[in-house]
Amino acid sequence: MRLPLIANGYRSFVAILFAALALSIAGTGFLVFHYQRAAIGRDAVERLSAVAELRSQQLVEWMKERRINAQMQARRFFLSAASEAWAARGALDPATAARFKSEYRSLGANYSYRAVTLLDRNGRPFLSTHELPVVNGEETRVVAKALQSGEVVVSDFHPSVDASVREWEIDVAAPIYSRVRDGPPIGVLLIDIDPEQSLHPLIESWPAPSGSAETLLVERRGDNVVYLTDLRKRKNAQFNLLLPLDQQRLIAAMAVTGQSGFAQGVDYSGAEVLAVVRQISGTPWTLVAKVDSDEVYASVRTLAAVTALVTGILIALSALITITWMRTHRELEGQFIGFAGAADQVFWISEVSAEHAEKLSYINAAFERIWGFPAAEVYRNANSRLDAVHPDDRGRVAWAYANWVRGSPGLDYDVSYRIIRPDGEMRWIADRGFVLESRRGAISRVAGIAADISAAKRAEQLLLQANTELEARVTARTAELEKSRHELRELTAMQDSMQEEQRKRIARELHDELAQKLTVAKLQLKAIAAALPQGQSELILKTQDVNLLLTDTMRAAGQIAADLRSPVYTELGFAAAVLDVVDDFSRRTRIACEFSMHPEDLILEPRVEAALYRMIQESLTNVARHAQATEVVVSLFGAESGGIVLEVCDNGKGMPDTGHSDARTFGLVGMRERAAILGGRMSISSAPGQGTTIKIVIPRAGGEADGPEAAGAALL
Amino acid sequence: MNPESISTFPVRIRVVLADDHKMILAALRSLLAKESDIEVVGDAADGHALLELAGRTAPDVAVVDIGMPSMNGIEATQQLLAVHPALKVIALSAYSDRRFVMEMLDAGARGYLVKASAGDELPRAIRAIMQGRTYLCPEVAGTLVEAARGKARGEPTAQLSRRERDVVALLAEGHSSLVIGERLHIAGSTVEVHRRNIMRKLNLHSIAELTKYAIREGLTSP
Repeated sequence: MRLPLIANGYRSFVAILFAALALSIAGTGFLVFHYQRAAIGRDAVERLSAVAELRSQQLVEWMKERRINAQMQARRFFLSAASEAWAARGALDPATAARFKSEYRSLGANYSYRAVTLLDRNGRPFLSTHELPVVNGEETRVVAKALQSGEVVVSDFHPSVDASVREWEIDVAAPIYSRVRDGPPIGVLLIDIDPEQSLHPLIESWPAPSGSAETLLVERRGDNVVYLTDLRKRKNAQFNLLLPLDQQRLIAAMAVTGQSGFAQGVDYSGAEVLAVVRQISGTPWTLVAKVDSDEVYASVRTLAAVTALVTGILIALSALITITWMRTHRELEGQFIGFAGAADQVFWISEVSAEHAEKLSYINAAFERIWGFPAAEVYRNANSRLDAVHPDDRGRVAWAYANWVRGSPGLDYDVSYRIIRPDGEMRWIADRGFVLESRRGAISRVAGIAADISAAKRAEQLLLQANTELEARVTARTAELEKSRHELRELTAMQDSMQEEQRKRIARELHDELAQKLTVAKLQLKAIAAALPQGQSELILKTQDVNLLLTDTMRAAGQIAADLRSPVYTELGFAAAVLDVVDDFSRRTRIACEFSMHPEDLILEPRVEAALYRMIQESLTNVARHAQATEVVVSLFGAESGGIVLEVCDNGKGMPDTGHSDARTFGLVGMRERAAILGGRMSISSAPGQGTTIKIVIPRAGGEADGPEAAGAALL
Repeated sequence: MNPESISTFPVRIRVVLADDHKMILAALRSLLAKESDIEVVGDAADGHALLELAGRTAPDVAVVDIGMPSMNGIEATQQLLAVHPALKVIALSAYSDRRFVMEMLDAGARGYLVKASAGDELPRAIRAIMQGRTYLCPEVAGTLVEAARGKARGEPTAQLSRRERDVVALLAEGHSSLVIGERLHIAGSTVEVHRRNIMRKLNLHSIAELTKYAIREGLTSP
């Protein structure tokens, strides 16, 4: 399976990049090579031209020299005299002959003259430095021409008469004139020059070290070209080697057919050469300076080889890098596939086309385990994945996916859904996608991880269920608690009113029974004392003691009764009793205390009155104990809602923290509880140095305490 | 027993007793029976019975207990004196609380005795008030003196207490709570509490309305 972590486009891009790189390296190599080759070629041609120019000039100089030398010799007197003598007498005096031979032999040695011969006006030789030669062929033609024209004539190369030695020679014929009278030439001086000695060294030498460079002379002979000099690469070729002119690329052929200047072609041995051709004026010869291409371009070849090598190395290197890179990716792909194959989650990669058609390009083995059908099906039809989604979730999943791949801003693909496996089992999937590639702002490749979260979902549902149950249980418990709290409060309230009744009853008993009976006892004691005879002073004193005792007892009983239940409250009612409390408080503590009640005829339930009375007592006790106040105002008024409001404001030091559980707070708890029993609530506003205001709101009978604070206060 | 009283009062003082305790009534009768110038003409167990008895017997003096069922002594005294203004009432109570004393004197009683001192002082008290004097037993007199020494405080006259009337006057003059507090030697916060209570009591909602009230009631110094 191919894992398209790298897109196809990306792969071809790498291939193109590589090819371009290789081409540019090769192209650069070729250009360098070409330039170098051209430069070296130009250089070689320049050198060849220079040599050719030099050689042709030397050649012409040499010819000129030979002509002038021959002309000067031919004008010598003793030669004219000899020729006239030979013409007149047909014989020579031996001294002249000896002089000729000795002078021209030494001259010949200096000038490489093989032989010097005198000929008569008919062209017959009569005196020579050597044996009289046989004049034939070329010599005859030259001599005849000299006699005819009266000018110095130079022959072409020709073989010597003596065929056995096969030597080549050049003859110079100079006409000899009479010394005494004008007229046609009377003889000819013929100089036989050995070119091997004088001319060829001039031509065949090369001014610079070279393996193949040479200069040579060629001449046309009919339809052939003949080589006039020794050749470097072929022995005995001089005068013997004839090559046909129809060889197109043959440099010598080009030369003898009139071409001159630079030429490229092959030499006699068939090797590629560079050559420069010069026609030698005044002769039928053509000079060729040439060098093998191989030699010229040897350095370029090295360069070419180096360039090719470097190019090759570079190409190989880039190929290696590319291959390594590809392999690394393949390895990464391999690792990913291994990793993905071992994963519990489903990894998927999809291509998104412009039409937002999905094409799945990869999905790992976990898919088959979780979805329960082969991945091949998804490769064939990308929609089969969506088809497996629970119908209730399908729309949502499709919507989320479509919007995501369309690139809607702020949307991502992170969904949980249910799937129905072919075997009917339902599973929960958490699927999250991320963008792999975007082209020109459009999402082109996406990938995602889908996990089977069924177990977690089950656990979640169980937890939810447990939570709900717990919640219900807590609610039930709370209700129970509330109920029992309510019951407790009712009980407390009942206990409170029972206690109140008890107090009232005991107080009443003390007052009605004890006090009255003591009063009666006292009155009767008085009667007894009055009835006692005058002499019983001791008894009289006793009755006085008993009387005092009774008075004390009555006072104590009254005090006890008053402590249990204020007689003012009993006889004069709530308002009077509160006033009494307030006055008592002022007197006892020296704290100015005001009681303000509105309306005056506030009618309250007895149990509310009793509770308020107790709360006023408790709050004043608190003020006396803790507040360090100098003034207290107790206000009691009907609230707008119909309830009763009790406010106790002092100007004391205030409470630092209303949540503090000191003795004072403990006193407040009792008040709070009393307020709660009546369905009311208590609030405290205080700040350090600002005094304290305790406010108790009690709803009208049958009503509920307003606001949620009531419940909170009740729970305290 | 007392020859002087006999000579001074040829006619015996007619007395009615009101107490819900039969034993007390009996003891008082026997106590007063020894006084030659005092005659108990009847007794009643509660306030209503007392009113009926007084109408029937036209007594000079009524000795009234405060703690009685159905109608207490204070109320009974008020009603009794409304009908018989010449009648003289002595309160005879187990209580010596200041409030009872004040209430009783307010209702028109001329004397107040605690029951503990009845044996020694009731006859004397009856004779004293018959002479037009007021008689208080020493214990009650002590309570009253103590109350008089205490800080002066106003009874809730009309709707406002005296303190509240002071505050209204100063508020109407445009003083701040702080200044009022300084003038009245109370805390500013207490003044605020008074102001709130006053507004509530008078059903007023602004200082302007409070000022009008103060002027109308003559609480301000013009």
